Amino acid sequence: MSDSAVSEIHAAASEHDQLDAVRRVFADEGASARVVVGAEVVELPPSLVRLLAAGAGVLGDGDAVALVSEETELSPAEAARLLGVSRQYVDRLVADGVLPVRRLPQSRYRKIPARAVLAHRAAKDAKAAGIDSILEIADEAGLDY
Amino acid sequence: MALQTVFPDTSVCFPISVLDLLLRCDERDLHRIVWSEDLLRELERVWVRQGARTVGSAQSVTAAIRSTFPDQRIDRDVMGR
Repeated sequence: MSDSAVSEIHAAASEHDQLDAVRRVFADEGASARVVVGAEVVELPPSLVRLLAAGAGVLGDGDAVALVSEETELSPAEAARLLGVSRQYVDRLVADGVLPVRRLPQSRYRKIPARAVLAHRAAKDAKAAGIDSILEIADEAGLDY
Repeated sequence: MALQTVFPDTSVCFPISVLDLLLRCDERDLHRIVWSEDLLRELERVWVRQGARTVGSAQSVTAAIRSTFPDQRIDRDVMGR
């Protein structure tokens, strides 16, 4: 994506073993890490260690990581990319009041808070998992599909 | 334009494939399902009639609906009963 609001990071297939190694060493909660850059040694804070561990896990599974600050505002196209839907679908979510939007003065451009987009995505994921479990329980209950 | 709100009748919550479709449409923001305690209690009775193994097993399905759609519950007085 050319805009810098969302940085997408992909891993090459050749990096798989290294990512696995990172995931392994950071598996312990509270693992600490130092980075050596030239003559400098920097201790990584726990938040950054957690970010590395989470990132290594996702990249190692072959998925891309999208890094976006919750405070950022996204264009409808960026929101669409983050949600994995079309821009037209985002337009509808905005029109339906599902996603909030800020209109830039004297412009047709609109901005959507990244926090709202991420919350929407998390809510959808939770709902999808909940529906899966409803159907599973209904099946166990002996109800015909 | 707000999403269309749907209060399903118990007759469209069986077979489960129809309920599946209704819930997935909610997940995809095609409409917003709302439910009430009265609806879920009626559903439990319908499902027991329709072959649920036990009352308890029917109740476990409605419990899963409650926990998946906690914000979509409406109260009896909202419905004007």
